[in-house]
Amino acid sequence: MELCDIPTLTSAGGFTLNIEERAALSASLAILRDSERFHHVRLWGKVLAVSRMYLVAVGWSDDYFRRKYFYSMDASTWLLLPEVTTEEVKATRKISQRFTGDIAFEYTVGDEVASETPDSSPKTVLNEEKRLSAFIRLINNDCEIVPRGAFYKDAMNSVQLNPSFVGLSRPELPHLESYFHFRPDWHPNTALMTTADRDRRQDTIDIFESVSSDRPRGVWSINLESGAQQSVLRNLEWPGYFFFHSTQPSRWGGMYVGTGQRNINFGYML
Amino acid sequence: MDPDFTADAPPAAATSSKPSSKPASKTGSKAGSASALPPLPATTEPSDAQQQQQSAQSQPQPPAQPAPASKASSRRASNSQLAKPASPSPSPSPAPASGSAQRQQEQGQDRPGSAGLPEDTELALARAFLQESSDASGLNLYDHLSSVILRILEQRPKNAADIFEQLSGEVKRSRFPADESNTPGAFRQAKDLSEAVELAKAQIKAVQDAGQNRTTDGQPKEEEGVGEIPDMLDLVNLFEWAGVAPLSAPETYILSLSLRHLTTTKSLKSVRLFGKIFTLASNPYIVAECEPANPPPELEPGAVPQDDSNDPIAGFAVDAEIAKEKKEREELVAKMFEEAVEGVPEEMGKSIPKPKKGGFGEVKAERGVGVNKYVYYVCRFAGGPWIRLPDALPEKIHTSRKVLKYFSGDLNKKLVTYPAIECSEAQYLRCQIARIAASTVLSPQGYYMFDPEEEAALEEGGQPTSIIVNPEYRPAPAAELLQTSAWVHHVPYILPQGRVNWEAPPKIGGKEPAEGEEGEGEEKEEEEGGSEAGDGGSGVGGRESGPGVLTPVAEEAELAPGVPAFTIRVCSTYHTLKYTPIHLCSNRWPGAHTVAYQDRFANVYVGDGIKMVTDAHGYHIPEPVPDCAMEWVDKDKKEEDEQPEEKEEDEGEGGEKKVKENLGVLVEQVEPTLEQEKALEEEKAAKEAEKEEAEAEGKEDDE
Repeated sequence: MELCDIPTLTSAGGFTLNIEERAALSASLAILRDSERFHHVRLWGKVLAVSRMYLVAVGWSDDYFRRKYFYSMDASTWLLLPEVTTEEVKATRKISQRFTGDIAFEYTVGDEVASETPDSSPKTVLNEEKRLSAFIRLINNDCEIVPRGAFYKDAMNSVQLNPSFVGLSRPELPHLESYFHFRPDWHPNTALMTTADRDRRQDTIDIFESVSSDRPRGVWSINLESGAQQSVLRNLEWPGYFFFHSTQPSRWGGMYVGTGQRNINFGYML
Repeated sequence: MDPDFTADAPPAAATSSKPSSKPASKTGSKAGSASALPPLPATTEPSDAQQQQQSAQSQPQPPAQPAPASKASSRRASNSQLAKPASPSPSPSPAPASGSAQRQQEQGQDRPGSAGLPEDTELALARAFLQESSDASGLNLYDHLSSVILRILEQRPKNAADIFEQLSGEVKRSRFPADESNTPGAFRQAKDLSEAVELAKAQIKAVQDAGQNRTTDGQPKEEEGVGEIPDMLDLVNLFEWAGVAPLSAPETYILSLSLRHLTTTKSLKSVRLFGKIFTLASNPYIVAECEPANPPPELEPGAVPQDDSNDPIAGFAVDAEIAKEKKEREELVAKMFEEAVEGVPEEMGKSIPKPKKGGFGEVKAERGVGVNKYVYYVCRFAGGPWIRLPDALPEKIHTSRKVLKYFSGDLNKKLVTYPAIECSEAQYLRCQIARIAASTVLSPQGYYMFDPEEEAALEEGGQPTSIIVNPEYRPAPAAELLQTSAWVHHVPYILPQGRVNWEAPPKIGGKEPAEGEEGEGEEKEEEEGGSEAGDGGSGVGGRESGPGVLTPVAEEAELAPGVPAFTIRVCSTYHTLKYTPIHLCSNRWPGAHTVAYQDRFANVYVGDGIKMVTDAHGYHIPEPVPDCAMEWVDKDKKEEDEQPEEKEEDEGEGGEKKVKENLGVLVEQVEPTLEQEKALEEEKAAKEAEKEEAEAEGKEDDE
C-alpha cells in the first residue's frame, strides 16, 4: 500500500498510521529504496506483537515476484528479513501463539500428533525473525490480491503494471471474480472452463487465479463502502488482511495489520 | 459469386478507389446503427442478416472470394497498365490479356508488391474485405481497428502492443453505451448512481439538522436539552496516535453532528462513540453508547423489551417471533400435560412432572441499571439513521459467552449457533457490546470514586457498585500511567448469570435443574481469567460474585504465558514522554483500545466483536453435547414393570427386549453395571434352583 492512501482510504479497515509513523516512514522508505537500489518500496503491513509492533516494508525492482522484505521497530531503521525454506513456511502455519516482540524468541514447532510419542520427527526451531519472514510469505500466498486488469503479461511473459487500468466498473466491484491472487506462475485449467468463461477471458489480463475459487467459501468478506464507490475485502482466515479498491479516485491497495494469528475457527463463525 | 458481376467490376474499380469504399463504409455504418438499436427477437434476426447480405451484394463492390478476385485483378492489372504506362512496377508488364488465371497468380506470387495490380486497387480490395460487417455483431474490422489505433494515438499508453487485446476489448465495450433503457447494464448503472446519492442525501440531512440549532443570523442558539457529547474530532486525533481509525475525519464530523441530533430527539443525558464492529457482507455497525435521561421501568423475566414511548424502533421482529414461538410451545406442552393428567387418579397424577415455565434459571433482565445502564444505538454509516438496540437479556449474555460468531450485517437475522442462542443479531450484538464494555472500558485510577453515600452498604459487607467522578482527580503523569496498576475497570463485571447484580434464579418445581448451572463455573474462569476469587456458581442458589468495580487491570489473569490482558505502550518512539499519548490495547478482545493523553482519556472498540480464543492451539471447542435426557418413568409403574421381567428372565438377554415389546411401553433404562448383572445372575440361579426343587417336590407329591 502506498503511504498517501493511508489516512483517507484505510479508515474503512479501522486502522491508520499516526503522524510520527507517517513522517518517519516517508523519509526512511525513500532512504531504503535508494540504499538497496530498488525501483519501488512500499509499506507491507504492521504485525502487532505482544510488547511492540513490527512494521514491514517490501522492495522490488523489475520483477514483481522477486521482492525483499524489511522490518522495523521504530519506523526509521530497516533490517532485512532472512530467507526461509518451504519447510519453515509450513512450520509457521502451525504456530498459533502471538508474536512476542522479542526478535530472538525461539518457537519450537513439532508435529502435534507425533510429539506425544518419544521418537518423534525432528522439531523445527524457528526464531521470531524467521517466523516473521515466513509469515509474510504465508500472507502473500493466501491473501495478497489485486484487482482484475491492474496487471498484464507482456510479450516476454513478464508481469507488468497496466497503465491503462482505470479501476473496476461498478458491476464488477462487488464480485470476488474481479479480484486476483497476486501469485506467479498460474496456469488456468482450460479444460474445466465453460464457454462463457472462455468468452470472458482475456489472456493478457486474466493472468492470476481469481479469489472466488478460494475454499472454504466465505473466506473473503467483501463490502461496499462510501456509497458503493469503494470495495473492502477482508480475509477471515487471516484476520488483519485488508484490501480496498476505490473507483473514485481509482486507487487500490492491500495491507496487513494484525496479530499474526490464523483464525482456524472461522468455519464455525460464518 | 456470379462471374458476370466480377466481369463488370473492373471499370468501376479502375476509375477510383473511392466509389467502392464509400458504399462499403455505408453498409458498415448501417450495420453498426442496427446493432445499436434495441435487440430484436430471435426470429427476426435471420431476416435482418439477409437484408444486410443483400445490401452488400447490391453494392458495386468486388466480392471477397479469392479465386474470382484474382482472376478479376489480373484483368484489371492489364487494363490499368495499358491505360497508365508509367506504372510504379519496375518489371516489364506480362503478356496482355492472358487467359490462365493460375499463371497470373503465380506471377503475382513471384513478384510481391508489383503483383500486376496497382497498389491503390489492391488496397481498395483489402479495405473492402476489412469493411465487411460481421454477421453477429455488425461491427466491421476496418472501423474497429481505426478506432483502436486512434485511441492508442490519443492516449499514448506504454507498451501498447502488449495490452492491445485489452485496448481492443475496451473500444468494443465503449461502442455500447447504456443510453437505452433496455441495454444490458443500464439498470445497474442507474442503481449505482442512487446509492452514492442516497448516502450524500443522508449526510447532508445530518448536517442540516444540526444547523437548525442556529438563529436566523447564524449565531448558535442557547442549547437546550442537548446531552453531553465528547469532542469527537479531538478524540479521533487521540485514536490516530494509537493507530486506530474508527472513522475518517469528515465522517467523524458528520457523526458528531448526528449524535448531537440524537441526544435532542431521544432525550439522552450523555453519549459516547462506543466503536465500530465489522460485518461480513454489509457496512459496519457504528455503535453509540447513550445514557438515557429517564431510566425505563423494570420488565418481567423473559419478556422482550418493547419500544419505549420516545423510541419507536426498539425491539426486533425476529425476537418477537422467537418469543411468540416459545410461548406457543409452552402453551402446547401445558395443554398436552392437562390432557395427559385428565382422568388419571390424583395420587398418580401428582408424580407426573409439571412442564417447566420460562426455561432454566431465567432471571429478570436489568432495566436502566447494571448491564442495561446504557442504551446503545447503531447506525450503518456516518449520518445514517440511528437504530436502538434491545436491552441485553441475562440468558442471552450467558449463552453468548459460549458462542463464536461473526456479524452478518443484518440486525434482524435469526442466529444459528451452537449452543442455540435463539435471538436476533441485534440482541447478540447487544450482548457482545455489554461484554466488551465490561472487560475493556478503562479509566485511570482515581478518576472515578465510590459514591460516598453508599459507604453504608460497604460497611455492611456488600460490594459498592455506584461510582461518581472524583472531583479532586488530578491527571497522573505519563510515567505512572504506563503501569497496569494505574488503570481500573469502571464498568462492572457481568456475572455468569448475565446480570451485574446477582439475583437468585427462580426455583422450578421441587428439584433444581443440573444442566442450567453446570457450564457456569468454567465459563466464569474463561471470561475474566482467574482474576476473581468467586465460588464459580457451583452450588445451586449459591451467590455468584466477581471482581468489584474499579478493580485494577493488573489483577487480571494472563491469557497465555507471557501474554498479559492489556498491553501498554507509548505511542511515540521519539517524542518526550510528556507529549506522548499512552495506548492500552486489550489482548483478550482484539480491537479494544484506550488512549490517554495528559488530562484526557478515551476508550474505543474497532473490531469483529469476537473474543480471542485462549486455547493453546487456537481452537474454539464448543461445549459438549448434553447427555440425552432420561425418559421419565413413573416410579410405581416401573416397579410393576420389573416384576414380569424377572419371570421371563430364563430366556437370557433376549428376555429383556421381549418384555418391553410385550408391554408396549418404552422404558428407557440404564445399562446394568457388572455387579447388578452378577446379582441378577445369582438371583436367577437361585430361582431356577427353587423352581427345580418345587418341581421335584411336585413330582414327589404326584408319586
